[in-house]
Order: sequence, then structure tokens, then C-alpha cells
Amino acid sequence: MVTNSILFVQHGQHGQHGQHGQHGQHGQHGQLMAGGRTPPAAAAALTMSHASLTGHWSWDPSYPLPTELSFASADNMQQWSMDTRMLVTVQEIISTLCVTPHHASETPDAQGQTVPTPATVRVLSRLGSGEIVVAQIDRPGMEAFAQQLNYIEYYADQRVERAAEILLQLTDILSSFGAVVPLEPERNRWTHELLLVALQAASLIEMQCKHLLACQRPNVFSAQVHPMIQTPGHGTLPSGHATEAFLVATILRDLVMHAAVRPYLVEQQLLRQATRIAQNRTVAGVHFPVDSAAGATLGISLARYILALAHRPEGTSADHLNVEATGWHCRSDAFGAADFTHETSRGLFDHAPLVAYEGDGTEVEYGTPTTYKLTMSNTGSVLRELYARARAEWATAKTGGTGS
Amino acid sequence: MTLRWDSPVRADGGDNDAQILSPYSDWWLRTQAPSFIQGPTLPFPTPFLTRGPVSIKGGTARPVDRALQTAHPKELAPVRPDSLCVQFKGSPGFTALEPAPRKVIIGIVDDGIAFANARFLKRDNTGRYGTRLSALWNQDAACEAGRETNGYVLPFGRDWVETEINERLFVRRDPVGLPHADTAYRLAEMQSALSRCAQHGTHVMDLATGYDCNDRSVDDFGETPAKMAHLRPIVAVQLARIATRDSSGAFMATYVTHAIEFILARTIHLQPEDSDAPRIPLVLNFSYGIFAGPMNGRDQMEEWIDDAVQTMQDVHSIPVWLTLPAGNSYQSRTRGEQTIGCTRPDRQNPPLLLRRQPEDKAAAIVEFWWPEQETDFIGHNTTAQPDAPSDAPASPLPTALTEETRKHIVEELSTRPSPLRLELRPPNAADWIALDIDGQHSQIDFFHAVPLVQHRGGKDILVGMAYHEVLQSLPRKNVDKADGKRPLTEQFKLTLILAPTLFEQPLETVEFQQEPASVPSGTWEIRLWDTREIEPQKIDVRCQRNDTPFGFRPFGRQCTLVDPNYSEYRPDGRPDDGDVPNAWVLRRGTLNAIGTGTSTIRVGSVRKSALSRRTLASNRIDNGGTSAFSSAGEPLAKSGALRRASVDLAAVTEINHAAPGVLAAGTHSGSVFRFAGTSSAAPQVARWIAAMLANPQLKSRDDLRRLAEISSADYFAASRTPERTGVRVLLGPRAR
Repeated sequence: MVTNSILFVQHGQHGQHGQHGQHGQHGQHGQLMAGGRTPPAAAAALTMSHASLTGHWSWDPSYPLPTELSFASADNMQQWSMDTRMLVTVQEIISTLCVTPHHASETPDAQGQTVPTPATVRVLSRLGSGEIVVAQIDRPGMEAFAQQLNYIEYYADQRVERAAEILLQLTDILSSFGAVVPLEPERNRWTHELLLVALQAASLIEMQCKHLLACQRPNVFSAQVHPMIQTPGHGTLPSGHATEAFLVATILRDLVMHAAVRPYLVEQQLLRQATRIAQNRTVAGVHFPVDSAAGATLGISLARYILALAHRPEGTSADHLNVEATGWHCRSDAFGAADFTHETSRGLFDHAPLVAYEGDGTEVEYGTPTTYKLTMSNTGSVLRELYARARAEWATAKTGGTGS
Repeated sequence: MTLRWDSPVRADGGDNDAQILSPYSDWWLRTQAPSFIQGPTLPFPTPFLTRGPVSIKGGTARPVDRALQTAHPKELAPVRPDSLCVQFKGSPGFTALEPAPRKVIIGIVDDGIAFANARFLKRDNTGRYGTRLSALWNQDAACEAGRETNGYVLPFGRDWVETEINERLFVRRDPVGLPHADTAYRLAEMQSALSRCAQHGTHVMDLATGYDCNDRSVDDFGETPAKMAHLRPIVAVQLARIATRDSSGAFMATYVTHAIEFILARTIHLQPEDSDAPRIPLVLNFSYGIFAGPMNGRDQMEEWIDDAVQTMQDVHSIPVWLTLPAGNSYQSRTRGEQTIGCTRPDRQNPPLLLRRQPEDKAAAIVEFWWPEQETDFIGHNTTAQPDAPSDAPASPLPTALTEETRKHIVEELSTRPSPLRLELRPPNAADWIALDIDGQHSQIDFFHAVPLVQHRGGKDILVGMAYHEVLQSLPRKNVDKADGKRPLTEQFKLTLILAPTLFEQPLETVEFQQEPASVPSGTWEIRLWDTREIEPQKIDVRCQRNDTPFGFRPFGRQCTLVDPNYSEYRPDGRPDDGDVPNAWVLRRGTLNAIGTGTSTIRVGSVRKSALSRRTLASNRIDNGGTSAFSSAGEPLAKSGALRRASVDLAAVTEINHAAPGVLAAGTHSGSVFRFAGTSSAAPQVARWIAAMLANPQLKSRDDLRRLAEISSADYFAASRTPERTGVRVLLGPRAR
């Protein structure tokens, strides 16, 4: 199966970010799972028991038939195994999206002056009329990346102290979020599945963006970068870790904010942990800070899109839903010599333009919001079912406090 | 558990006939278990070189004006009964050194000195290995009653001179001729001090004066180690372990001043017999520090050291240089400033919070220093007739404070009421432990203390004390101002001592058993007020050091001050290294509290890799490569008394973030280990000073700074943060 190579189905290994490029390792579809899946070795035993037990074939057409399952119904999701469900849900999401490149050009502005616009990629949705831009990332030039190189040098000071986090986050970012919100694989099994689906979908979009933008990694610029881990075999901008970390943070925030009780400072800590996961990649020597900015905006944008697809507004019985959402346009080429810290990421959960700071305190506007409207069918979405079950896991008994 | 303040008591250790003591000494005596007979104690050594019976070779001790500038209360320390010397046979007989142009004596006071390590050996002209130590003193050794003293009377412990080390300690040798170190340490009773593979004193001594006596190549200082082995005789003192383990310095001052006196006396003995030959100077390194003190050179030990160094120069013409670490407490959150009003507040603003760690077996000590103020002399007769009538005309200011005068001033001041008040609130308590300001606490005199007691098991246990002191300082003619005139000043000081949070008998000897007492860990709150009707005063709040030093099993855990506005990390994850405007807990002014005198060289620490970092705005690096822990003094540009409290130089003690420390000798010959800290910076500068002493221009600390500033040698780099790294950064040959 072609899709074999890109799925996580190891129920006990949530949050495997995956080692892109090692496609043979993903999706050990159909392997032994804890919990007693019939192993291939049982075939001989079952052949024997079939021969001994079943006897003469005596099927009678008048015997009551099993209930027919509904056609094209999201309710059937519980019939399928997790890996199947994930394939279906990821396809639901990805089939609505595409990523388009746009070359650099010069456009006239309001005063008739020609303004150069950088090369850019847009993530577009087909759910609605006109061009629906879910996210956009501009392409920095090589000089812009060179301005950022100094950060690799000076963040390297923290390699020893951040080594444990960096190594953990090579394959696992959910553990880091499990330290911020309560996440337990059995209690939050639908949340885990939702997060894995989102990560899978984002992974496809993020790789497409990386491929189109084709930005060089830091170690191509200078041998003194000397990364402390393997530099992955894909482009540097946007950062995959940043995309995924902010995607997870946004979804968890959504789930937690709808809960009756939220942990104190959860929103701030989700943002900071995502920022740190992204920043750790700069410490490791495999990303520039601007990659984290682009990844953060992409992750948030994709998460908001997925949540827009997944929410079912209360009491709606119409055939179609109209949903409004906001994504980010990341002006990475204008990031300049700014750093990516929790000061930079502060506004990402909101909708006002995003600001970063250069070393001398100069402000740089690196993100502008892009609002869009989606029109989609109200029925048949497995994603919506999944989301509803995930939300239900967060409805705890009311004990007061609405968190922050 | 009920805590309350008891009636004020005189700070005399519980014995009303006794002299008034410092808070550290008083607390230690009061916490002794009453059922045990107290063991011997050891006072501060008498003023340098005035002890009559000791004959110092090379000259008689002439009386000089070495005023003990401040009227300090008495300080004492416990001493192990078996190491106290009660009988001695004074004898002459000490081999003087041969004069040589670049010979410098290196003095080391430390813990864990592996003196038999090959780095501290030399070879004589027959090729036989021998020690470079001209004298060694183990303060913890048993005193051998009746042994010869080689010209110096030890009050406790045991010492060996060079010939004794070679003949009686290096009794076993290996086939190559190197001394068998373990045997030597056992004979010197240092086997447990040297039981670990890495020791502070060995690392420090190697950085200061370690040489491979077989190495004939030339190093970055232009020195040939094989030759230097003959030009750097060592005088080393293994400090008593109780002095080092109690990192608050409660016993340090007493033991260290004795150690320094030993080294200075030996330095005098070692001078060439021919009195016309140039004097051999001494560079002494003492890699130790504490966090709290007056910070103006007038700590008791600082004054003693300044006097001693002055005497060596004036009386014996021997230059003495002392290197000290600048301190490692920059990020320790042990220093802050608070404003104190004249009425009892609900809380300090911002709240004065003290965090005690669980399993902290050492007492927590917090010192509160009021600003220095001018004062009239106390007006009583303070000369040698302390019992003259009080209406006798006020005497002119004495020019020298003898011990008697000091004692008398302190006694007089102990009848003066203190306007200061301190109250406590234990962790999670709703109410303050209030003073009875209309009753038993309506008057608290200076040099008295308010005990904090806990009622338990039907009796009151002492768990804390708040000491009130006023320290008066006499003007000193040749310091600070050109015209020599300075008013009489005094400083109010409060010292809060709290029992450990986990009790364990601290000393091994049964004579010094303590009464079990402990207080809860967590965040304590303190409030203060000054009943004088004056403007609000800004005071200095300092937690004394109370961690466990390197080489000791866990004992103290550092207590800290709590401030929600203190910024620990920058947004990029790097430790913040400045002070933010609204924080009351500070990084500045954290210099080693025994390094503010006139004669010590204070050395900070830098990270070598950060020195050559490009200074671009996008790097946001503005700390000049200074090590994160390296303490800050006052800026060098400030004039007057404050100028004392500054860092003079810095050395490399971290190579980069993955090699946090510099390599120097481990206990066993040939081994090395990495150690960082200003303790490793000071001895590197000591080595450089010794190399520079051939320069006759070098007479004062200012000369030394100037020499470093103008030096064009490769081994210097610019200092970009003078408050923490002084005038120049040394990249010595040992920074690897």
C-alpha cells in the first residue's frame, strides 16, 4: 500500500513526529499491537480449527441478514480501526487543500509605484468561492538568511543544557505538551488520535511548502554551524517542528478552552512550550529563527483550518455550513535580523499583525492575518465525529475557575 | 509548634561574665547542648607580630600604628581538643632561602592540598625528587606535644618544614624516585581530606604554582617549568575542615588569620640570611569567599589582613600580594535592597521573602546593613582606664584601637538602645511572630539579641536570633582621603540567624554537640522598621553563604531572597545578566565579602569562547564573555571608599559551554579535572603576579592594575565589563 509509508499506527507511540526521509519506518500497518490482534502465526491454528469445528456448509438465505451500515456515514467511524480512521480523516482534510507557488514579481501599489513582491507559496482551500488562502509564506532571499546566521552561533551556547529536550523532540513533541496540559493515552485517546491526524495532514502540507520554497539549511552556509544532530533531508523554511508544535498547541488550546476547568496559565504555557520546541532546533543548528516564525504561522493557520472543518456549530441542521476563520501570511523575507522567542510568538493565538524584534530593539512586522470563509457539507465528516469525541474528553466536573 | 520572641539577651554566648561576641560566635555557643562540657575554643590571633615570646629571625617586632580600625566584637571558633597545642619547646633552626633574582614565595591557604603531587616537586642536583614546600601546616592534625617548633609556635595542628617533609613524610619512594603520596598523606594526617580524586586545594595550587620539574620548554609567560620549580618555594596551610565546611565563614576568620600569620612568619624566616640581599616577596592565594559583610574593607578579617600586609612592608620590607576570588554569587539571589520606614509596616514593600531549602543542615544567616552615618565619639574615656568616671572630659580619638580599647567600646555601646526592629512570619503562617514592643521588647540594646524560641516537649528551644549591632570605625590616617581626615562613622547591623531545616550534629567531636533544633523550610517573610524619626533608609539585605563547598558531603543548602520581578532568563533562554528596574533582589554589588580591603587582588572569571564573539547587535551579547556566576563589584571609576569594592582582573575558568572549567591537577600525580569558578581564576593571576614581581615599579594594587592595562603581552584580552572583570582579562597558560 502506498499509504503504508506515511502513517503512524503504533497505538502506544503517540506523537511520533517521524523521521522524514526514512519512509520505510512509518506505518507498521497490521503489526502486532498490545491488546491482542490476531498474529499471522495463528493462520495454521485457525486453519486447523476451521477444519475441525465448522462442519458442513449450511447457509440458508432466509436467515436474518445483518443490519446494513449507513452509506457514507461518519457514524461508521467506530467500526473501523484507528489506522483506517486516520487514513480516512487525513484524506478528508488534505483533499480540500493544495499548495500553489507564485513567483516573485513587481506589483503596482496605490500610488502607482512598483513594489517588488517576493516569491511566495499559498495554501488554498477549495471549500468555497474564490481564492481561499488558509496560509501564506513569503520566501526570504539568501542575504536575509545570512543575517540570521549569527543566531546559530550564539544559541549554540545552550546546546549542552538543551540536549535532553532536543533529543526527546527528535521523535516526540507530545511529551513536552503533556507537561503543560494533562494528557494520558487512555483517558485522552480521541485527543491523541485527533492530534495525530492533524500532524499527518500538516506534514503533507508542510513538505509541499518546503519543497516549493526550497530554502537552504544553515549548515550549507558555514561549516562552523556544526549541527549537533542530523540535518534533515528537506528545506529549512518553514520549520517542521515549529509547524507541528504550534499546530498541537492550537488544537490543545481549543480543547482546553472549551473545558469547564482549565489549568492556570495554560494558554501562555502552551505558546511558550511550542516556542521552545521551535527554538531548540536553532540551538541544535538545523534552523534559522525565521524558519520557526514561518512554521509557527503555518502551524497555527492549519490548526485553525482543521478546527474550522471539525467544529459543528450547535443546533445547525442545514445541509451546508458557513464558517469563518483566520490564517496568517508570514512575511518571512521582511524578518530581517529578528529572533524567535516567546516575545515573537506572543500574538500568534490572536489576530493582530505579528511583531518580532531585532537585536537593537527595532520592531519588524512579520505576520498579517488573512480571513476567509468556508462553505462545506454538514454531514459525513469523520473528522467532526473525531473532534466531538475529543472535546468530550475535556468536559470535566465543574469546580470553578475558568483558567486564563 | 509555637514560635515566639523571648527577652533580649546580651550577645555573650550565654555567659554573662564573658566578652561580647560576634553573632556567629554567640549563636554557636548558645546552640551547644547544655549537657556537654564545652571543648576548647580559639580566638582570633593577636595583632600581628606583637606576641612577645616569639623571636622572629631578621628583626625585632617594633610597635607600629596598625590600628584595628573598627571596634569589632570578639570572634572565636571551636578547635579539636587533640589538635590544640599545650606544650611546646620553642627552638630556632629554620633554613633560610638562597637569594635569587626571580624567586617568589607562593602561599596557599586551602582545603585538600595534595602536596606530594608531582606538580609540586623539584629535583636537586643529584636528580632526587624533593618537595617545593618550605613549610606545610595541617590545622587538623594532632599536636605533637614537646616537638621542636622550628622557630614558630603553632597554637594547634602540626607543621613540617622542607627537610621534615622530605625525610619524614616522603619515606617511601617508587622506582623512579617519586614519593609515595598516600603514605605521605597518611603520615601528615591528611588522608581523609585527600580521599577524593579531585580536590579544591590541589586544583588551586596547581593553577597558582604547579610546574612539571622535568619540562624544559618555555611557556606563554616566558617561564621554563624546570627552572621555576626552584624559584617558587611554597608555604601551604591545610585549613581545618570545620572552617571550610561552614561556608558562612563563622569559623573561617579565626582559622584563616592564623593560617595567614603562619605563612607570613615563615616568609620572614625564609628571607636570605644576608640582610642586604633583596627581600623575597610573597604571593598568597586564598580561594574562598562569603556573601555578606560590611563591603567596605572593615570586616574583622579584612582589617587584620590589611594590617598584616602593611606591617610586612613597613617593618620587614617584604612585599606581600594576596589574590582572592571575586565571588561566584552573581546569580545567587542572595543580595537585595529594601527601604525601611519608621513605623511597623504590614509588610515590606516589596515583600522581603527568604526561601529556606528543605534538608538544609546549616543555619541560615541574613545580614541587614544600614547606611554608614557619622557619629560623635561615644564620649567616654576609652583609653586604658576604662573605669574612669563617666563625667571625665572626652578623650581625643585614639590613634590605635588595642584589643582592650575595642572591648571597652563594645561594652559601652551595649548600653545604648537600638532603634531597629525585626519580625518574622514563618512559611504559610497567617500571622507575624510579633515583638512585644510595649513590654519585654520595648528596649533592645546594641550587642544584644532577641531569641526566637519554639516551645516543644515542655521546654523552649532556641531556633533563631536577631542580633543588633553598631560597628564604630575610627578614622584611619593614610587611607581614603589625601588630607587624612575622616569623621568617626558607625553602621547599624541586624543579623538574623535561623536554625537548620534538618538537624544533624555538625561537628564530629563530642565536646561540641549541639542541641537539636530546626525550623520549617519554605518561604519566610521578614519585616523591619527603624524607630528613629528619620527619612526612610535604604538598607542592604544579604543572605550569608550557607551552601556545601566542593569536596564535602551535603550539608548546607543556600537560602535565597525571593522576588517575582527578578528576571532569571531572557526570552532566548540565556540567563539574564543585568538588574531590572523594579527588582529588589540584585546582581550588582555581589563581590566576595572578604575582598573589599585595601590589599587584596580580586579576580573574576570569563569564558574563553565568549571573549572572541562577534559583537553584532543581532547577537545581543553584551556581557563581554564574563562567566554567568562571576560576581560584580562597584565600578572602578567610582572614587573613595567604594573603590575598594571592585574587581581588579579576570582570568579564564571556562573554555566554552561544553568544557565548563579549566583543567588542573587532581589528587593523584598525572590526573587532571575541570573546575570552574573564581576560585580557579585567582590562582592564575597569582601566578602572573609572581612572574611580574621582578618589575620594581610594582608596589601597589593600583600599580598592578596599570601594569595589566598597558601590557602588550599576548596573554591579555580586553575587559568589557569592568565591574565583573576588572581592568584586563588574563589568558594564562593554564587556561585549557
